[in-house]
Amino acid sequence: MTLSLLLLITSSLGYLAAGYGISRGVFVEKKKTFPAWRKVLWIAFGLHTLGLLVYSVTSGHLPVQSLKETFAPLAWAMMLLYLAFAERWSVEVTGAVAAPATFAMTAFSAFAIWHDPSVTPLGPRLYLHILSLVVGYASLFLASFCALLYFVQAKLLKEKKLDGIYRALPPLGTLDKVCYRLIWAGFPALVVGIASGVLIQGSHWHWGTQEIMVVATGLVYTIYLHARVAGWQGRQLNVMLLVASVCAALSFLLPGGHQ
Amino acid sequence: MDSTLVLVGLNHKTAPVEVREQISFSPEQVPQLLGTLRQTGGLLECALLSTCNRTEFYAVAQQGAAQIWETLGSFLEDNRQLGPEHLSEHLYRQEGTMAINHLFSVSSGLDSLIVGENQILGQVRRAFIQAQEARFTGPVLERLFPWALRVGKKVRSETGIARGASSVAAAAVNLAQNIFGDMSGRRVLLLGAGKMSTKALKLLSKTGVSEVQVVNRTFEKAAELAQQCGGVAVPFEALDDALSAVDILISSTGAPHYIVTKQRMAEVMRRRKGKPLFLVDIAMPRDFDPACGDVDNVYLYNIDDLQAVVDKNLARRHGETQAVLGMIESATKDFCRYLDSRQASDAIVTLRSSFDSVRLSELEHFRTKKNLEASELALLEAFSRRLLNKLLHSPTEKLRQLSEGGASSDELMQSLSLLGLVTEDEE
Repeated sequence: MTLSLLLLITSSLGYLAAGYGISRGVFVEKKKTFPAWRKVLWIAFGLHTLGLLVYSVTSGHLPVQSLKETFAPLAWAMMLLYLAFAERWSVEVTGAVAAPATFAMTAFSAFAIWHDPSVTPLGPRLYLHILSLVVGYASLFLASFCALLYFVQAKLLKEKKLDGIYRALPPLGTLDKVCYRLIWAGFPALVVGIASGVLIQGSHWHWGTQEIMVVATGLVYTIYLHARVAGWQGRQLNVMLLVASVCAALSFLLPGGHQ
Repeated sequence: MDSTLVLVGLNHKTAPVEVREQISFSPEQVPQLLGTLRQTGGLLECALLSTCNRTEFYAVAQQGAAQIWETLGSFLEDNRQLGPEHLSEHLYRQEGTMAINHLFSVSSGLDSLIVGENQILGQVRRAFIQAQEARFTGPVLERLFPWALRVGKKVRSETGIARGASSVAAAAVNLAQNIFGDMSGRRVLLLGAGKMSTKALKLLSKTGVSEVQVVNRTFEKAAELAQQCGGVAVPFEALDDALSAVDILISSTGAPHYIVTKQRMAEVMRRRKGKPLFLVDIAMPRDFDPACGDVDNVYLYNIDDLQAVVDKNLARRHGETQAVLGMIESATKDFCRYLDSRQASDAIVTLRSSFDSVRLSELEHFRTKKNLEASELALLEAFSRRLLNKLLHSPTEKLRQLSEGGASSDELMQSLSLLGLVTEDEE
């Protein structure tokens, strides 16, 4: 257990360093440093993967038994998506938000488990519910980071402040396209996650804060996709994504039956 | 004897346009001119860099710089029937390191009217190719020009000297790219037919925009312009429909009042379902109510906004001057070091070939007179080569050191001659 937590903490420090490096690259207009920080992220991701494997083997279960555990695989999935697509889709700058967020999630998870390693084992039937939500949320959170950058870039263009980070941020069209792709990628997993949750709870279903937030998240994303397919674009849709990601974060963090 | 690299020329900083246009040579004239210069004699190598802002000769000859300047100066006067008193006040003359440094500044865009512009790289390349085609290049220019091109590229990639648009039209195109990213499939609308809008359209068409629509109060004029730019003319009454369909609009009508108000724009954006619209209003007076820029997803830029972008970019480019000068300085030193090593290598080659000829004649003597077997001859050959390398190692190193210390090729050869290491013929 100690080894896995050490690996998780070390990887989170790697994410923190890369987050700082990429942010610095954005603010001082030195995108050339990005490839070096991408390597740091890959190393941190490798340690993260190893940490999760060691934890699963030593504890005898996947690290999704509690909220504190689930943060680590959620951060892992988010970083995997970032590393797989950010460079190809020319949105590496998203790392300035994604890497610190991954650091916070991984470090929180590791310290929370260190502080209180006890968990109530869950049945394997919940794995589908939790893992689907992990994949869905990872994709949706990453999309919301792109939406945040869209919001900033649109504001800079409107106000004609064409210096500083404006030069480092991707074009609005690129950010918009990446958001759309990520939402499409995450939405099926989110639907499976919510639907399996409802089925598992069955007659015990109740409208707790978490449940309300999860359903709200699903609804906002559905509206987003509907509007996008109908041809709508622009700043408002990206604001919608930010609202949805806040709902998703609250569904994770607010106290409720899942705790 | 040593060769000298010199530069004679004038540019926008030293000569007014009235003088520059008389000394300017079109690309078609340059080969013939170099051919004539070659026949005149006196020069070993020569390249002519002639652009709208500069005319520069880079020449190598085995004579003093003053003599070459005179040759080139009088050549220019003869070719353009200009009096020496008229030209001399505008010409700059440099030699050696200064000439190298100047060419590197030119290829870096530091000496250009618009600092960091890229066109000069192509012009330097063309000057080099034309000199090659005229068979007027040699060991110095064959290395100097490619070196200058490398410096120019390096400076542009490692500093911000060429970053950002340097004209209003280019600034508009850059902004469009920063809004839409991928430009393929984007549609452009020209409202009115100003000179600036056609210039911007020309740049935009290079980015891959798919369709151009032209709207004008007079439909015939719109049709005429549409034909010129391969677009489609749209009646003025259908402006709202056109605005709903395009991504970029460049407006430059002569209308005395706003053509599009905020309310009209809001209605258009509703029809567009919020798709971003980039408006470039370069009309004077403006065609779009400035309040149109407050409508969500509308990015409205007027001529002053674009000029401010250009001014900032140019200021940033000027801010890179010190860094670029440092790189040029270092590249000049590297090139001079290369020239020095080339001088040392001439002396080393002479020294070695002198000794090698003695070695080979002795080997020949053993082969014919001593009746040695093939294996014995091979052994002797290897031994003599090894001995020669050992004996010449120290003098070779010394020649290199002398060259690095500033000794010219002539001085190196003289020192060899004084020691009797080479004969006068070899020298």
